[in-house]
Order: sequence, then C-alpha cells, then structure tokens
Amino acid sequence: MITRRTFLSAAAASAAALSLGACAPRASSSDAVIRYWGMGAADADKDLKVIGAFNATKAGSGITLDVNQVPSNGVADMSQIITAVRGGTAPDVWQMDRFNAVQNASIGLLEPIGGLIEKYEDSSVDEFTRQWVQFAVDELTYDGQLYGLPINTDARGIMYNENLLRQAGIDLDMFDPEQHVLTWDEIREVSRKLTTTDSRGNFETLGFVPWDGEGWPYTWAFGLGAQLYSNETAAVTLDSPQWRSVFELYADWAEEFPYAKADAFFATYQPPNSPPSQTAVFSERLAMATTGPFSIRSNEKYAPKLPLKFTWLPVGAEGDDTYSWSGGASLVVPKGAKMTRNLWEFMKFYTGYEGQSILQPLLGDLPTNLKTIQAGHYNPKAELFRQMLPTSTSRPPLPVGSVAWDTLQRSRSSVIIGSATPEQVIANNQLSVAPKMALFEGYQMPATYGQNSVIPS
Amino acid sequence: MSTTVRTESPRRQAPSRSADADQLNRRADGTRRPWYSTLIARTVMVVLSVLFLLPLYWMIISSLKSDEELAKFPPTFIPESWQFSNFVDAVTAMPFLHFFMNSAIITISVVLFSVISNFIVAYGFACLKWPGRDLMFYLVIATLFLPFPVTLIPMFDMWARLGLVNTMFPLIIPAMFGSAFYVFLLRQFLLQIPKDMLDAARIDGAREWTILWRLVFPTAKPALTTVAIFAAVASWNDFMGPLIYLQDESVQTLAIGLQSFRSVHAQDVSFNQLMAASFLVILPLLVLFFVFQRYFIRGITIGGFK
Amino acid sequence: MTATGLTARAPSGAAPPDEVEKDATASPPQRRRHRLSRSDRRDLALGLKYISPWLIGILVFVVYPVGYSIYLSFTRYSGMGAPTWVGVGNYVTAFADPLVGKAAGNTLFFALIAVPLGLVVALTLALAMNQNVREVAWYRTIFYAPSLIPAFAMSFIFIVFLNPQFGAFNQVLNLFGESNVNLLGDPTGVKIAIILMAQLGAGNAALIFLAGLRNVPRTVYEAARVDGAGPMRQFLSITLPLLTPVLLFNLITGVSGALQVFTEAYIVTNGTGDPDAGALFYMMYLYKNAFGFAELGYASALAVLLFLAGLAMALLIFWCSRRFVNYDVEAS
Repeated sequence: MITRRTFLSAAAASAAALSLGACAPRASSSDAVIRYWGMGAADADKDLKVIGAFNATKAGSGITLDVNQVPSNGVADMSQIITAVRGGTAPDVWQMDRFNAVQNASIGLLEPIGGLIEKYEDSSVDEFTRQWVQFAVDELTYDGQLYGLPINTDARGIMYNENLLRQAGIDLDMFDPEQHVLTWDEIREVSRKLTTTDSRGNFETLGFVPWDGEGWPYTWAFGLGAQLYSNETAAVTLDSPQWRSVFELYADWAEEFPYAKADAFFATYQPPNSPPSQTAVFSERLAMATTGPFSIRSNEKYAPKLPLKFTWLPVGAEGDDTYSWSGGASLVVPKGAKMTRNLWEFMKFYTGYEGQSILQPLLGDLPTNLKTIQAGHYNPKAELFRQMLPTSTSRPPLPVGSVAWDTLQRSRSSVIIGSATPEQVIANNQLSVAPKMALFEGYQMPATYGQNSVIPS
Repeated sequence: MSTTVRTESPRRQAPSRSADADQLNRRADGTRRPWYSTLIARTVMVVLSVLFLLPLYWMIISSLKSDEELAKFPPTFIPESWQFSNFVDAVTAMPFLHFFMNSAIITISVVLFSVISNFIVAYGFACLKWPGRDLMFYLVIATLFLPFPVTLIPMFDMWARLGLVNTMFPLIIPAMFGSAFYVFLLRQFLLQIPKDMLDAARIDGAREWTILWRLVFPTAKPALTTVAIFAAVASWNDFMGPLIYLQDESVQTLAIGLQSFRSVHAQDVSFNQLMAASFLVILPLLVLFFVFQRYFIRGITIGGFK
Repeated sequence: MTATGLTARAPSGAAPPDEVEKDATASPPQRRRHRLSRSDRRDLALGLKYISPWLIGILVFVVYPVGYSIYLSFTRYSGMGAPTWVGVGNYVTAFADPLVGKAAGNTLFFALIAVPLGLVVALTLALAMNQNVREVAWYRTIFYAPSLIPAFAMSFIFIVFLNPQFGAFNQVLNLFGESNVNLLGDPTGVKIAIILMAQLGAGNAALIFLAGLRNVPRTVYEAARVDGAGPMRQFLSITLPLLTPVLLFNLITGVSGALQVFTEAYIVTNGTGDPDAGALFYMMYLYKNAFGFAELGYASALAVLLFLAGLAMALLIFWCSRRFVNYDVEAS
C-alpha cells in the first residue's frame, strides 16, 4: 500500500531529481555553433554525411552543427516554428518544404537572405541564384526578396506495371517515354481494358484513376493551363474555365469508374496509414499510378521483381506540350537568427554543388543545383523525371498557398463523390481564396513563374 | 497479479485487500459460491476481452512481421516468420534508454504532483464549505472547455520568457497547480463522503490537514488511483507538448522518438519497427496498470460504519 | 490507514436530502450579504487556502492565455508581428463561413452519438471490471489496454478492421450480398467510423465508473439482498443512483471531449477531414486556421465561440443534474 509518508517522500525525491535532470544544456550562442533543424530522423544519416563533408572544407572547419531532427505535425502545420521564433528558440537554419516559403515569408517568420549574398558573394542575388533551377528559386521568392536556397526537387509522372499492360494486350510502345506521350483519351481507353469487376460488382483490378496518389488538382491544372493567380490582373482566377476542366476531368472519371467502387478498391488494397509495402500497385491490382521519383526507392525495397516503369503525365491532345509539377525542400533562416558568415557558408555548401552531389544520390530525388544535374549526381533511374524538369512548374508562390491547397483538395473530394458540380466548386474556391488574397493588393509573383526552365543535360 | 500477491503473503494481507479477497467466491452470508455462478459473466468478459485485445494483438503481430509479409493481402493473422530483430532495430533507431529516462522523469513527476495538488484542491471544493465556493467551481468546469490551440502560443511565450524552453519544466510545473479534469473528478468522489464523518472529526479537534490525509485520503484511493493512471498515460503519451517545448534531443521523450520512424518520404516508413517501438513504449504503462489496478478496492471506510 | 477510530462515530441518520443537494451540486448563488460574517470570512480564507494551487494555476496558465485569445479574436493576426484590429469582423466571417457550419454540424453529430454511446460502453466495461472473479486484474488491463495505444498506431489498426474486403464490418454486409463499401469513404460513414474507434478508448471513462462502483458500500447491497431485491433491481435502485456523481462527471467531460474531438480524425484523414469535409471537425478547422493558414485571429474567434457553446451545454447539464445526481451514499 502506498502510505502518505512514502507518497510524500517520493514526491520530494522526484522534485529533487527534477531540478537536476530537467535542464538541457542551452545551445551555445557562439558564432561557431549553428543550430540546424532537419526534416525528420529517418534521413538524419544523410544530413550528417553532408555536414561531415562541410566540416572537411576550409570554410566549414571549426564550425559545429547542432543538429536536431524536429518532426512535423503535418506538412502545413507551423505550430512549432511559430512558437519557436516567437520564443527566440528557433534554429539558425531550418529545412522546410518550399511550398510553405512564401506564406511563411509573408507573415514574417523568415529572414530574407539577399543581404547575405550581397555581403559574402561577389555577385547580385539574381546572378547568384542562377546556379539553381528557376522554378525552385521562384518558389522561395516573396515580394522581390529571396528567402532561402533550394535543396532537392522532383516531378510527377505515370508509373505503370508492364506485366499488367502486356497481359491486357496493350501496345507497350505507347507507354515508352522516348516514343510517345499519352493523351487522356488513350489512358482512359487503356484503363477500361485493365479494369475488371467481380461477381458482386467490386473492382478486382483497376487501370487508373486521376485522384489517386499524386493526382492532385495542381497536377492536372498545369497540363490544362489552369492558373491560380494572374499577375496581369493581380487577381485570383480559381473560377476560370481551365479550372472547371480540371474538375470536369475528375467528374468524368468518377462517372465511368464510380467513386464508391474505386474508393472501396483503394481502401482494400492500400488503406490509409498502412505499411508502405501495402499498395495496390505492389499487389498488381492497380496498373497505373501518378507518382514521382520518390517511389523509386520503395519500389526497389518492396517490389524489386515488378517491372514498374515511368512515363509522362497524359496530355489533352497528341502533340501538346508535356508538363509536370515539382516540389522539394529548402534551407531557410527563421526570423531572429544571427546572419553570420558561418551560417552562410553552411547554407551555400549544403544547397550547392558539393552538398547536393552527396545528398541527392542518397535521397533518390533530383538536385536543383544545375551543376549537380549536369554532373549527373542523382539516381540514374530518375532520369525521366530530370527530363520533365524544363516544362515542370512549382505550385504558385502565393501567401495563401495553404488555404488554396486545402480548398482545391476538398473540392476534388466533393466532385468525385458527386456532392457538387465542377461549376459549383470553382465558384466556391474563388469565394474562399480571393478574399484572403485581397489583403495583398497588387501582389506579383516572380515574372519567371510558370515559364519553362533551362536545365542542362 | 492480485493472485500472485496473495500467494506471496497469504497471511499478512492489508485489511483492505483481505476484505476484497474475502469477497472473492463468497456470498454475502459467507458460503462459497459454486464455480458455475460466474460462468455467464466470465463468458461475456472473455468475448469482450477478445474484442479489446485485437488492437494490441494486431500491433504485436505487425511488429514481428517482415517487410514482405506486411505487404501480403489479405494480412496474415499469425506471423509466418517471427522477426524479433525488428525490436532490436526499433530500440537502436533512437536513443531509446535516454528517451525512456526523460519520459520517466516527466511522467513520475507529473503523476505525483497531479495527485497531491488535485487532491488538496478537490478537498477545498468538496469537503469545506465557504461562501462563493460553487461559483468558483463553475470556473473549474469552464476551463474544461478551453480549446487548446489558442492557449498554445501565449503559454509558449510565457515559458520562453522564463527561459525554460528546452527543459522539462513546462511539461511538469503545470501539474503542481491542479487541473480542471482531475479536480472535478476527485470532487465528485469526495462529495460522497458523509459530512457527519468530517464534522465528527472536526468536533474531536482534528485539523483540516489531518482530516485530509488521515480520513479522506484512504477513502479516496480508488479515485486517486484513477487520477494517477490518467496523469501517467497522458504524460507518457503526450506528443504535442514535447514537440513544442523539447527541441533538443537531450530532453526529448519516447513519444517524439516514435516519430523517427516516420519519414517526410511517407513511402518509406519502417512500419514493423514503428509498431515494435510503439509496443515497447506502452509496455511499461500496461505493466504498471496491471500492478496498480488492485488499488481499486472498495472504499471500506464509508462502508464500514453502516 | 483505515480511520478505525472514526468509523465508530457512525452518524445516526442521513442528512436531509435537500441540504445534501445544496451542498453537493452547484446551487444557485445565494443572496449576497453586504458583509461576510466573521465565521464566513474564516471559512472563505480556509477554502481559498485549499484551492490556492488551482487559483494560482488559473491566474498564471488560464487568465492570460484566455484574455490574449479574446483580444486576438478581434484582430487579424498571423502569429507573427503586430495584430491588426478588425472589430467583430472575425465573428461575422465565422457565421458566414460554410466550413464553420459544416464543421459544427459534424461535431454535433459526433457528440450526439459518441457521448451517450460512450457512457453505455464505459458503464458496461466498468461492470465487467468490477466482477468478483479471480482473474479480474486481467480483464481490467485488457479493457484498458486500447486507451494506452497512441492514436496514430490505433488508427492504422482500426483501419484494418474496416477493410472493405475482409474487415469485420464488410463481412456482415457481405452476408446480405452487398458489394464492398469503404466506411471511411463516405462523409457520414467516416464519422461513424471515428465514433466506433473512440469506443475502444472507453477504458478511461470505465475506470472512473469503476472507481464509483468501488465506492458503493457492500452493506448497501447486502441490505437490499435481505429485502429480496434481484440483481436488476439492485442495479437500478442502488448502483445507478449512487453512480450519478461520476455519471455527471463522465457526461460533462464527454461533452467537452466530443466538442474538441481532434486527434483521431486528424490522423485517420491525414489532416484533410475528407471525404467531402465529412470528418472536418470544429477543432480541426480551428487548428488549421491557427497553424496552417496563419489566421490566428480568426482561430481565436472560433475558439471563443466553441468555448461559449461548451459552457452553455455544461450549464444546462448542471442545471438538469440537480434532479438526478445523488451524492448521499446512505440516503438510498
């Protein structure tokens, strides 16, 4: 039995233990120590390799990186960084999804880094950033100021299972990225042939649906010419005919491949939050999926024997331009950090030729550093995605990025379920996002946004 | 567990436990109940147990499967090969022992402080009579309805100003000041203690502090055990608090460590290791619960004087 | 330990019911006197002394954050820099925001089913945990075990049971020849799934009921048995009335928890609230606004509204509780 005496003495003992054990050593404030937050412990070993190489350079010798892998609550959850910046406990440099850069810059969470470039480099910001893929730099630019340096990137394509296509008698040349770019009509036709239904009406196998995997509204929007924001009119254009065609695409597919049946199919063969090895592609139930180079690693790990290949995203008509969308991470400086030469040297190394050449082959993604791309320091199996980069686009660099994303993906859900028409959702989308954007009157995205990028091969 | 305890010291049982043990298999009049009298109850409980064991069972078998087996459809109910190495990998993937110690320091402190502070406060609300008490109690209830996201920022600002971010204090100190949930819980129990009993003690000249510990504390043991269990589980499994306040690995906890299996590349989660680590994380709680559940003894003091 | 010296001083009878009621539940504030008498002041000082830990706590940890939030609810604020005063603008926006309506509807749906169901499940578990069988420690641990599993692990496990092909739910449907459905793919189904998932965590409320059950003196049952009351009569006329204080607690905290339902839905839907915003609960929308959309002012307004709604419900329950809650063990 716990008596009051033992209870109270235990309490006293723990109070004593507390005062001894509860303190962490405060991070040193010396310039030689850089506090760095990585994006997750799963890739911490790769971070350390880059840091090791940095310390071996002349500029990096004697600099200590205080690394913490700080997990995030979710892609667009800024609770940790907002609290940390306010409390003065934020790191000096933070690895962040580029998608969040403009919104975070607009609320004053990040330091512009143009000053560092002008101070420590013998070049202008524009000149200096030409080392990286243009759309990645655009995604880090808010109001004419640069807020970070890009690390990796990716692109979206169609992954297909040759076995299933061959069994259904599909001409594989159609899927060969060297020979052909699929049209929407073609992929629909193929999908029909690959879809089978059991006696109770359940899908046993499925060809393709555009809302699975990376089939986000943005993915198709870039191919259908839908823009979220127009620089000319400085207005949100979410109710444009192009956006309607994005949602009509979903609605059309959901009509032919009914949502409830397709949804039951996906919930059966790749339930949410299930092991990464449990996918409809790996179980040879789904013939085609929208995905990116990040799949290569898990394909090799979980389905080394499957003939999984990649091709371009489908286009509207034969001969149309290819397209894709690319995201990726960046190094940014949270507000209030010390803008030292050491910090700059680290950022430059990590995102520069050497850093990316170490990191990208390990991650399996694509580099954003042009010299790294040219040198071919990335997974050779991601070559097709490298070829997608010139016509790829990032999500629009807008301070309302999260709301827009949230609104678009909810609209997709409404349209495929059938609770709203494409006409209705685009009107709603405009109503949800336009008032928030109205607070940034006359806002201009970088002039280069949406244009093709020059990528060396 | 309770049976083990009994076999260890069959003669020297605490009175309260023997009261409980006495009741076992005995009718009110003291005769032994036949074995089948509990058959229906036992059947129901076994069925319920299977249902409530499923999550834990699934967690354990998932933690023992290989990557290939996890991909099987439909999933296997018994692992084909028992991959115990997942547990080794899970423990070595993070500084497990270090995180364990941090979690333990926080949890033990929170439990002790919670039990003491909430008990004292609940006594003030339930066993003492003073003007304005009920009005004040509405305030306790009101704080139950405060949504946490809006208090996150001002609270953090405060701890940051005190320079206590990256220490365990922001997670421990609040436990010293009671919480609406536990105060309310204990009050509901303490109100059932007959006023006459307290008044009798007061007439005998006992001070409130003495009544609190000598008279009320033993009676409230089931309720205090509940508070202790809740505080322990909440603190041990807390994710949001450590995520925001504990940025350095030196002070981080197991709940944060579990995140190390989840990559930004969602395609690459070491699922079996994640389940193995999750199981190891809740195991101490399971064992502690098993040991401490026997404090759910009958409040014999109240029953004793009837 | 057991206050043997005091048990002998058994009271001769129960306190008059009305007096007990006044003591117990929060009674309407009595007419204030201008000055407190000396003994009143002494009582007040003693009472305040005992609740002082909580008083200090509320001053430090509640008053400032709440005041700050109320202020922010009248501003536009991203979380950084200076807030911009917008008056009642956020409240006007909230009432016109279709997603607020949707989220509030989802939350009420959840509360209306999950709270009563939760009480029944918890009470059932508590009765099971209270059986006089040798292996009761095992039952208690087993019933409580799901409450220990971290939410993210639980959501994966639970999803396995909802699998359209082999999950238990669809096995039943298959008996009727229905084709496979995904409960999580339907805006109403997903709410029901989350309600069911929440029931696996009923161990917490059950533990409180169990503590309540353990508080019922055995002598009361013995007396009833002598009077010839069967198990059902005993449950209805002894157990249930004596459990009303903990029932009130579980009801109030159940409502509070349901109005703030967050984690399960956030994890099951990966933070989206899909399909078709069917699992977008109020707290999720609030959280998204605060830390996803950098609309902390708006989130604060939403929080104030939620707080007021919760408070109104709590007061209503308390008001009703005066009719059914019984704190007097002997009076029954």
